[in-house]
Amino acid sequence: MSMVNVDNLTRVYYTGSIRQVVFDALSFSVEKGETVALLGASGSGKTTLLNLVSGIDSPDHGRVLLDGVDVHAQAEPERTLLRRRQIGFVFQFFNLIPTLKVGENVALPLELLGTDDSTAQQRAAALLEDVGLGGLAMRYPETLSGGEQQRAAIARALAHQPAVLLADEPTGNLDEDTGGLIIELLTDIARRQGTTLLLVTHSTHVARAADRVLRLSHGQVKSELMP
Amino acid sequence: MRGGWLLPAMLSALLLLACDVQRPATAPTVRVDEAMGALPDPGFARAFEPRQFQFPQDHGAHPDFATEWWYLTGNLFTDNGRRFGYQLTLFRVGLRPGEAAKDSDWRSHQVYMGHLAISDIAGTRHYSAERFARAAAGLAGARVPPFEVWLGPWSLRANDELFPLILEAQHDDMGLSLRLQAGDKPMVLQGERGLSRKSATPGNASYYYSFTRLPTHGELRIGDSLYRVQGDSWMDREWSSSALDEDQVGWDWFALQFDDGRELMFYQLRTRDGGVHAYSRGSLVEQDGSIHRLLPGQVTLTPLRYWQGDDGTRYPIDWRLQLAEFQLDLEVRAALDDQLMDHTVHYWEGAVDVSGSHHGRGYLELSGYTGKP
Amino acid sequence: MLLRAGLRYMLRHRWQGLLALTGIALGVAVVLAVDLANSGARAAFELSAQQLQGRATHRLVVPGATLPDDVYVSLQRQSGAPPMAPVVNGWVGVDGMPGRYQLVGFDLFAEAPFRTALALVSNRTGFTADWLTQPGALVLSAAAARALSVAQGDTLSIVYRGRPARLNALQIETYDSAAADDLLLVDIATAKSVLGMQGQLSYVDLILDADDEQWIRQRIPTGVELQTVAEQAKGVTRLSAAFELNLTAMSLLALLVGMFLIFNAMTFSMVQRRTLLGRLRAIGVTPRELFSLILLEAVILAVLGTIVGLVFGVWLGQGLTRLVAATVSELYYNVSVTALNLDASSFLIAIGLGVLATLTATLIPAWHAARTPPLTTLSRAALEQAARRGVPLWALLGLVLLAAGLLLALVLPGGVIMSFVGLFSLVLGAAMMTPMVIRVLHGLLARAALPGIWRMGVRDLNRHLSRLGIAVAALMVALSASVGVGVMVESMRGAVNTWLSDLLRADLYVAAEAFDQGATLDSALVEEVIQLPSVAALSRYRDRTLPIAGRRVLVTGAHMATPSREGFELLSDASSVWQAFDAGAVLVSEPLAYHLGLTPGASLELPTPEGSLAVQVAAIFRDYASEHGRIFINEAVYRKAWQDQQVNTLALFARNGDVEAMRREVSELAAHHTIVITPAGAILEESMAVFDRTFRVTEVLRAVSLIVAFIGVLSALMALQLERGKEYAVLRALGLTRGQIAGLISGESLLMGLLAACVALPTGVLMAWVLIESVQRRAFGWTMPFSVDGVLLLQTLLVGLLAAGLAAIYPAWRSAHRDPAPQLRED
Repeated sequence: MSMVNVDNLTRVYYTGSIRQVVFDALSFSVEKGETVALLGASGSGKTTLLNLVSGIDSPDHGRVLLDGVDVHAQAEPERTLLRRRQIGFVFQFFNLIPTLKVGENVALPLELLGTDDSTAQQRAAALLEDVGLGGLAMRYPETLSGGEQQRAAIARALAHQPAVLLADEPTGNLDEDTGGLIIELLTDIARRQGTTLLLVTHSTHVARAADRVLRLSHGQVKSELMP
Repeated sequence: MRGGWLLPAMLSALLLLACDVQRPATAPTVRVDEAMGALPDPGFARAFEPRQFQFPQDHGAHPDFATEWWYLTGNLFTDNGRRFGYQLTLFRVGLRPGEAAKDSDWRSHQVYMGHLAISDIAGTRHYSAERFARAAAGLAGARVPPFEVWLGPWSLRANDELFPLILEAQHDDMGLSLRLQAGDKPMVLQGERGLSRKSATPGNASYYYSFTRLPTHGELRIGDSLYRVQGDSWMDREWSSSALDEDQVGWDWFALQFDDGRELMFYQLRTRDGGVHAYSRGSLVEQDGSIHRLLPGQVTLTPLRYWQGDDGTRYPIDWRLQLAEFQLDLEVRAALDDQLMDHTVHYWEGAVDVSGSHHGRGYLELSGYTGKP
Repeated sequence: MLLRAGLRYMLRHRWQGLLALTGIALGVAVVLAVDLANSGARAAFELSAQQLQGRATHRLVVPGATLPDDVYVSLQRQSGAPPMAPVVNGWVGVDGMPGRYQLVGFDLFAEAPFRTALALVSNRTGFTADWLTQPGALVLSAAAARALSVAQGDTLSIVYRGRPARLNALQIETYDSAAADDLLLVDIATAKSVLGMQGQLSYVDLILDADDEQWIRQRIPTGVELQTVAEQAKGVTRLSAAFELNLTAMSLLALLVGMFLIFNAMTFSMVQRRTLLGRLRAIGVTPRELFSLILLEAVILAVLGTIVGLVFGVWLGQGLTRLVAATVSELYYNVSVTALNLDASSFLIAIGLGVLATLTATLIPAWHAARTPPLTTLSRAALEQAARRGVPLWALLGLVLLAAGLLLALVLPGGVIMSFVGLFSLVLGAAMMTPMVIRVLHGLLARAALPGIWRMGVRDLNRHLSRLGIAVAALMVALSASVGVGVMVESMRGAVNTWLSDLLRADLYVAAEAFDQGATLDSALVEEVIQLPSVAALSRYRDRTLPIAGRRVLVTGAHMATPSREGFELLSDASSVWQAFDAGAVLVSEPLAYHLGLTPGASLELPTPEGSLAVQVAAIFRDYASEHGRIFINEAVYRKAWQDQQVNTLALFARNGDVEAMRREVSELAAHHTIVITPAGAILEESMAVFDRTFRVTEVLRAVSLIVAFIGVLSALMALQLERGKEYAVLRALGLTRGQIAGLISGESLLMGLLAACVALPTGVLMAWVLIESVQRRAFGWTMPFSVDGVLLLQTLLVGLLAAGLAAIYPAWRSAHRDPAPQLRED
């Protein structure tokens, strides 16, 4: 059974009177533990797709099945809880909470799930070690470099061992070398933990790290084998 | 005659703070004819027939009647010939007939109004003032004997006889302190033995007597300058409860003292259509005090010159007066153009010069020319 | 071009512009409204006074008595007399209406030079005749007629000193004079009859130049005094000073709260604009250009906000003015503030505040934004860091201000003004220390083991200090003023209560029914009461108001039984005081002693009809009844000096404590006399009720400033929420529920309220201390024990939390329900 199943998804935006079709009857699926890159140019709707998958945004038609559960058939609170348990997010702009220390940022998803403080802290420390940020737990995010912040974000995304990791242009704000290292880290950890990774990028270079590439273009996806 | 007719109406529409520029724009104005149309309260006594005058009591007040006045005018000169005209009138107005309520020592049905004016002919300026007071608590009143009429600091007083009469009237920028003597002219009972009829309506008449030439001397003040003056005054006494008739709008009143020792009084009542009312009257007093009664047909009055007030009203201040029967053909000319009394009641009252067939001086009163009272 | 960028930013971020505008407008509005209400109340008093005073420069009076008619009549008959106008006036009750109305009788023939407002203009034929001849003829303003439900021709039943009288509404003025609203205008003859003043006048007004003054002085008999209007005004036209002081304190408070609101709004708006400013710097806009751009925008905002604030302030002021007027009417006499008193100085203060505070609040951030290199400008963290660095400096400055305030108010010599300056400085200082206190408290809270969300909330407050600090300070100022004024009022209430309970020693008090209008007791009745077997002892009091050193001092001729004497709390050595009193020395109240610098043994001159009477001060006693002052003098001495045998009040002590028997016997006497018999308890109760009414306005004004502070917190939270939209979106993405987001915002807000209250409580207590020890003492000369009521403090804490909690509701709801998706997409 697929981990993520996107079925006949349609999303239309209205900017004033201008109707913009982002996807039209889009369908694809990602298997459990698979690393899939969604490749597309700017404005092709990659971020929207991730928001739809995570239940932050809602489709006009179609459905998203997450481990067999229809995300959009859920009520809002259940959808939030589903996200809290099943999904980890890595953003282009890192989006660490500036008012929490790095360690606390990482521990936050665990605390949301009710994990006790010391367990959460230990796990956060371990994760930070894992992403190469050992010893930076007590720092505030703004004192970290871009690459370090993204590592912390990855640690945060994985803290509660989500079934699916959604990464939105994780290298978009980083230089090429750092970006490469981040992608390596991301795919490596995902594979090790058996986490399904949906990686959104505009860069074919980044996409190369995935098991499978889906090219998003004009509201449709085309499967592409790795070159 | 003189302006007194106006009083009941005037007081009923009294604009108290006439000098106050801040008052609302809705200040009442009353036309003479409209105001006078209303008859005084029927509770007042009326003059139907001649009365037996009792002096000195009749020099005092007659509160049974609606209006009454002590009216003094005169032409005065300093030793070096500087000329002044003066007017002091104390009016009594009965607001209601009968006794006032006894609730308060300041309650009264009687109100006094005073008009004081000095015409500085050489200085070409006319000064005038007005005051009011109720006849209570000693603020104003009249009594006899000894004779006294007063309104605040303005007063006329004498001892057992009316003359010599002491006139005291001081105001901010002017003042009079005069002694009026009897002279050698007797009292003149105007009209029919002192009953002066103003129209055909019974009771529309006043009791009216005059002293036509009263040798006068004393002090006159303009600002801070005091002048010793002497000359002749004229005093009118009149009381009534009359009103103007339907067709009367005002009057022109002449009080002239000729150099030859005679005096002429004539009032011309004007009708609504501009004509002369049949009840216009006058009298010519000879050197020996004998009197000739004058009727409208005997006297011809022709305006010679007009003076226009600030409000646009035109007053005929120079006249030709012809009385053929007595070989009088006179020019009566204002000694000063602006001698307007611009107070609660609006009228022109001023010193005049007489020339032509005879020479002399006098006072002229013009009323009913303006839309204002 | 640059301006366009700024303006477009404003248009795009309508909410932020609106919030800044709201802040400025609110600050301006609250200052204007409170000031208008205060000046309205004052103007209402002054209008009544001026109306009666007209253009008079002087007044002829017999101090403490009436003026014989003859004095006026003979003066006005003399040549050279200046303009004079006689007046007979008194306070009367109107059947079925609360409060008292001033019946003014005047002679309209004498009024022309004096009182425009009293000009009676009527077109109606016969008006003057009716006015002068009808007893009871009355003229009313349209407003007064409405208030009394009187139409032309109606009869109005009034009572003067227990005597009923009827007035007839002859004329209702239709033109808008704003004058005479609380006056019953009658002819002087009617006034003399209603007020029982035959042969007497209240006073005569005069318009005098130096020569005239000489003229008058040479002609007035002994006992008659020529006073200038200024002398008169000092005593008569003063609003109860306590009440006025109250209003002044409230204006001051409004000014402070308003200032903080504007600071809050502008600082916020600047902080949020940093990205745009950074980009402008990055593309090469010079610091000077940027600085002028920001300033220009601030000017535009200031002008717009001030205009809106003025409009809103006038509206709010109307309501407040009505309220203040209602209290004034209840306590003193009827004033109807029909039109708002649009006092120019109120507007100037409000406008000045709006523009200056806005510009000042912009200046520092603008300078920062213009000065810092482009990249730093982009970083919020850098800005916050700068703000945080400033915290200790501000705190230090605040500490200095606070200390200076205390020094000014309590240590250095000076008047009430200095006390207020000190008070202002104290509050400002405390407000400036607030961010530091937040940081310290935050440090304590952060150490506590809180769950992640709560830890985040606590830390947020510290990290957003530049924005939230001022909002907290604004709330703090409002809360502390509330505590300060509250504690002061409570202390005063306690002191007055103790003092009165002590003073009211007798079992029963007897006075004429219309005692409040000055009615006195029948001498026959006094004799009868003395004979009653149930009366063990009694005290007699006769009150008379006399002008002493420009104050209206209540002089009481007293014959006092021993227990009455024991009720006095003497503030000086008490030995042999009563022997001295019996020998003719007087007791002087604390306020009078303070203002005249009197100590026991000093001597004092009292005006009597026969000239002045020199007396010695036996002792100073505690008194809160009159800020003008009070003197007790031996009855025998009083009767001889003033030739006055009247008695206003009797205080009775029951034989063997049998109050009931005494009450029965006195009540029997009441059948033949119009008297009121009151037990001490009832007087105390009534007095405390009056006290409470006096300070009810204070309560409302306190509430208004709290509401404004609440709106300040609300707008701060709104602005913060707008700024942190992205952060909330991330949290939502991470799986925070809507409830958790709302809880986070509410928690932060409550924390703000808590912190504000924590600083406000000590500050407020300090304020109360200054108010009592400095302001009250300097203004009124009275001292009182300082007592802090724990309930009041707790209340304030709860009010702070409530305000903060309420302020959080909307922002919390809005953030929780905002769609996170669009915010996640953009940077």
